[in-house]
Amino acid sequence: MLTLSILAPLVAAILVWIFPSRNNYREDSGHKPNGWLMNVALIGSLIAMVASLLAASSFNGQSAEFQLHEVWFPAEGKAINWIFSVDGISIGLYLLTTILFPIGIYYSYASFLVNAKQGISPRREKLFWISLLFLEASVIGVFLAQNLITFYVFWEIMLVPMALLIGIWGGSDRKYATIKFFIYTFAGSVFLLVGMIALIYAQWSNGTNFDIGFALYQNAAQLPSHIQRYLFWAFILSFLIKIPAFPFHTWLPHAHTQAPTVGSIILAGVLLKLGTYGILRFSIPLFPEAANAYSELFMWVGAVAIVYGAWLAWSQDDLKKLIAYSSVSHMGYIVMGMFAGTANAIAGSYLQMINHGITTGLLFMLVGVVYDRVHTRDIAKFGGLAQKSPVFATIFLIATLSSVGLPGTNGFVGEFLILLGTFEANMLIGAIAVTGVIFGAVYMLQLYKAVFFGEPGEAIAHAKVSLHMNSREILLTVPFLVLIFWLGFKPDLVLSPVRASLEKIQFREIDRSFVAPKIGKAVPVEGHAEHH
Amino acid sequence: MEIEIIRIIFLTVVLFSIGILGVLTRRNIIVMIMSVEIMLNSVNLLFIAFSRYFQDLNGEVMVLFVMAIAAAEAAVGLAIVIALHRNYHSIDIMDIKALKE
Amino acid sequence: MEKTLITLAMWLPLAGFVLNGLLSLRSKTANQSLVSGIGIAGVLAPFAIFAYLTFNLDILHLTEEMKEFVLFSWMNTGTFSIDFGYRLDGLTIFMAWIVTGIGFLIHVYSIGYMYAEKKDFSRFFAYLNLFIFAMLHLVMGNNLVILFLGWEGVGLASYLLIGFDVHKDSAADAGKKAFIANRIGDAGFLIGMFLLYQVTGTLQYSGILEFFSVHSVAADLLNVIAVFLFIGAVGKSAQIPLYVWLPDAMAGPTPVSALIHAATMVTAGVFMIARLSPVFLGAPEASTMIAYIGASTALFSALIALTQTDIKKVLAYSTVSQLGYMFMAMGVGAYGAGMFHLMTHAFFKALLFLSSGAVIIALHHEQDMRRMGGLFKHLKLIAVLFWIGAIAISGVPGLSGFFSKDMILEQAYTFKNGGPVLFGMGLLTALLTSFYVFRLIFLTFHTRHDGVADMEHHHDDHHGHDDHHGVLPVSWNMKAPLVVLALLSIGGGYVGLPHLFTHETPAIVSYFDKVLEYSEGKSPSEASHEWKNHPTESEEQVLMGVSILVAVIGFLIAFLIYQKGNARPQPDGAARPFYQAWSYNKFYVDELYEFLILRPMKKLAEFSYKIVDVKIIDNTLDAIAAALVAIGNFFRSFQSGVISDYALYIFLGMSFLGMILIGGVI
Repeated sequence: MLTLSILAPLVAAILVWIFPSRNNYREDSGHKPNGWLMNVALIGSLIAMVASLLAASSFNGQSAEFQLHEVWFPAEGKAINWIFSVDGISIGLYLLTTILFPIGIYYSYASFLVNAKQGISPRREKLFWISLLFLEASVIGVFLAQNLITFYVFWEIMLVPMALLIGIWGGSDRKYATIKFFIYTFAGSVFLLVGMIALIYAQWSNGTNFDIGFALYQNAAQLPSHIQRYLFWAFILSFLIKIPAFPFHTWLPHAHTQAPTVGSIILAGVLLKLGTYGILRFSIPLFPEAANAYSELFMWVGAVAIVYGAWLAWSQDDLKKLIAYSSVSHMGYIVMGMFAGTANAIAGSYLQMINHGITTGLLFMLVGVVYDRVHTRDIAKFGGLAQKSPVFATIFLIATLSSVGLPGTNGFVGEFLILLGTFEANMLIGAIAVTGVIFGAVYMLQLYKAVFFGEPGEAIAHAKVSLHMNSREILLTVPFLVLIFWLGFKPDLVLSPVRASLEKIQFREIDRSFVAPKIGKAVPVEGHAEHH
Repeated sequence: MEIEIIRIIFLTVVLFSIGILGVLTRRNIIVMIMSVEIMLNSVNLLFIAFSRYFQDLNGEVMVLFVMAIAAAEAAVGLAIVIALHRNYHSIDIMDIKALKE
Repeated sequence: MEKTLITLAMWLPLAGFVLNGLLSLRSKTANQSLVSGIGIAGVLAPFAIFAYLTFNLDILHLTEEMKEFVLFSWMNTGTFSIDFGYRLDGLTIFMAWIVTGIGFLIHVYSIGYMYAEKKDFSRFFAYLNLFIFAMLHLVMGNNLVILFLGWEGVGLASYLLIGFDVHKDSAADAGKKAFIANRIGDAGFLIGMFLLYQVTGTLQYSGILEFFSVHSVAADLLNVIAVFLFIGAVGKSAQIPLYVWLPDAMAGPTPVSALIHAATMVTAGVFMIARLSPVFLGAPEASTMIAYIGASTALFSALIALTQTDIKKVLAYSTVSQLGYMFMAMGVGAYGAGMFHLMTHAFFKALLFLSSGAVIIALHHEQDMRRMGGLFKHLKLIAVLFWIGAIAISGVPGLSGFFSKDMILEQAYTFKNGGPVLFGMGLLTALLTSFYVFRLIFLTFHTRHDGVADMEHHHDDHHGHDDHHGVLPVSWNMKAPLVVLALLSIGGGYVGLPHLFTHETPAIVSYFDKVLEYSEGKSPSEASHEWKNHPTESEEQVLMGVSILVAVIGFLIAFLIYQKGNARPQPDGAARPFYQAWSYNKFYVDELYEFLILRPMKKLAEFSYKIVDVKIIDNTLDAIAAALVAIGNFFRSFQSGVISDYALYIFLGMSFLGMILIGGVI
């Protein structure tokens, strides 16, 4: 099943490639997108989704081990083999990926149709679907790979289709954004490669190979502490850039604003999670000593990102940029929670990874919906959309509330657990991070007010097509909405299968030194005083 | 009359330098080939001088070799010049920058 | 059985919200009787269920197991788990009565009030039901996280209802301001909650209460926790310094102001203190601070209310002021008095707001008192009801406000940490309250100025459409709730007859002493016993006499100035004496916040973006990239394609190697 979910998109990509169809139209020719191509791509990703759901149904949440092994090239004792498997850490993100991609693919088709109505025809359709499918296969590969080198191969391959998506179907400044995205993350990956090789080299003699498994963790934890620290930095640098954590976040707004909508959905929904996934998979369990030693530093990095990202989001006038910076803020919560290291914080971080994929994915999709109709992202040109399109306003409001972490939505549970867990680890950092709750409301509500309330703005008043969401688009938001509320009330859907795996990562107990001395046994009250 | 070895060395250094300067500064390929010939010949001269100084024939054998190679080199070189001229209609090296691409 | 009923009561309002919400999305003009039917059912059903439970269960003698109703496990991380469940005890049922009872009346009233707004009718009822849903969770939850769910949920409902008129920028701004001010409080509340969790290891009420009955916690720690929790109350209940959102919230429709911004939501902070009584009663310094903040808020906002000209703004500041009273009571440990005032205030303030709403509707959405006057002859019933509300709030003996306010003032007087000061502030507030509320009445209903004629003139001038003439009739479904509220405002105080009359503990105080009992049978009154002196009977008489006197004085001053003297408030731009100007301009607090907090923050945010992020971080990155490119270009320049250049490099390289060789030999 796991292999199938990687192969299905690849096969679909090949089918799209050999599909008999003209490919390249002039942009203003008004051609409609080819539905058959989309169908092939969609079916490929749906097969992957079904396969992943089947795999999840046979997943044992009680165990923290790698499960459902599927071996391609067995190579006992050799360095590089192709084994796919899942454990608690990867299962949630794996499912998130396979669910987001069909939505993204179908959304792109809906978006092409809306554009075709306005006489804008899709460019290089075949390549578009192929890029998306390759992206899906490689992202799934990253989550499933159980070998460092396989992991790295997928990790790098993934950059190519993403760079194509931004670089070919992006906005006006796409070249700069693509190069920045590619080179920046690639430069980070180099550290990762060096770190991996050094890690294995350092312990080659005692039989460790590139297989990610018990032996790797066991042996790595026994490395001398200074080597652990060097390796920790090599790994974490790459992840921090990918996340992106402060101060490595500047590629993100460019990439988001230039990427086509589906690119933004995938970028925010899945690609950013690769960095935090790496932290959970490698940084903390491989180098527990270093992680512990630097945990406070990285909690600060997270807390700063929360507040700073929120500030930046507050001063944006571009819809997508605002949401991009809000991602920086939200990813800050996740980083902070992971390095807080208590059970609550790590569980919250994990949940927040899923939440952010859902919420921000939905937000980007909604921005795409309105962008397809008004062709601007300048917030100042919006306004009054609530009266024009109440359904859109309602769905956007739900996404906004989920983003600000209103209780009852998924965002609250994640944020709450992270903050609670951070507070258990370090009160000062926890208190600073709590202010993110305020700033989060500030920028999101300002956005909501500017776009939906008041009199219709320039872009809204002069829109050439109906601003109502069509039924295709509404249908696409349904899975997001269901998940937002479901996870808001029953986060166990995510938390219980991963608990066993996360418990292994947790490296800190609750610090009650502040309160413990102040608690004593109650003195029974002697003879209540008379009153009145 | 015996010439002091140091003077011959000095002469060959001067000749060699002239050759290098020619290679480096001239733009005409034929002149550059000629400069290379000068450099080769300056080395030949040095070989002969040392051969006589040490009373050892090995040096003179070497000179014969070098002269043969120089002849071959001149032939190949001129052939390349002709080929270049056919393609570029010029034997000015500033016009021929295929290496940059 | 009880569990099913409570679950139904808690979730039916949400069903109403969803149904009406979908109706509002589907069609622009939904069937209004269907919509109002759904909306009313969403609040009447819980009301009936809570009434049934009250009369069929012995609320005061439930065992701890019978109080808790767990629906499902909400969060569970291994070390921390919280259930989604409800708690039924004397405090929650008391609040549930107020929420659903007043909620029901206001729903009925809204049918009449919103009838003209055909387009937004169903949306309005959807939001009202959402509010009821959230507010019920706030009070009925069995742990702090559900309280927080309701706490933010009511904030959302309030945000949506304040910005109900989506065309108006000002309404949207007011909604945003309310939400953000509340969020500031919520951040403090979260910190308080996390600290409390560290102390008790749980966030379930039952666990917290049990913890405090077997442990004693140092007062300095509890002070910290109480202060942070109180920050949440400051935001939600509009106390200094976060009260600024409440007056702006009047941008919402009037029933919303009555329900959310007077009767129920804003009292959530008071409820929260009562709910966590062991924390606050164990924190004497924090409690003292709460009392002083309450008293200052009461006085400060009463001062602002003196000169306001918008009828709803006066009532809004009055609400802030009355909330200040409640916190004063909670701060001095008089929990029964605070909850008592919460109830009576819900009655008379809802009455006042709804009556003013009737006036506003009758005058075609005119809210400025300067354009009113002489309405008595047009709106007799409304005027009478308004008078009842005014008498109740001003503290004239016999009506509900008198009993609760007097109890608070007496309790404040006996407080050891500066009781007379608190009492003085409270008394002054009472004087001002009486003055501004009667000023409101005279300006609106009496005086020789004819508001109706003025309005017609005004409409002719500005709009020129003729179909808007005259006072609109007030429908029965607006009047009926008003009458009920008026009866409650009159009679609601008799559950708390003062000690002076009956020589017993007032009934409501002993009720809450019983309900909020914790730690081995210690009630709030007992726990705060040592915070207080004990007044003699003659002192009590003097206190009561003084408070009656100031109410009468306030009335007389208003009568002399506005009825006899026929004074009118000046237009906006007119010059005022400085004390009036300060009050009229709300002591420039909004401007001060704008200048001191908002603008620097915005500047900082922009600085972060334009300078730090773009100039420093991103440019550094680009500079690194550019440096690499420059290095590349430099080396690239050697590759000129000119053979003689390459020959030169060979020569230089050879010479270099040669020099090394020779150097090595030598």
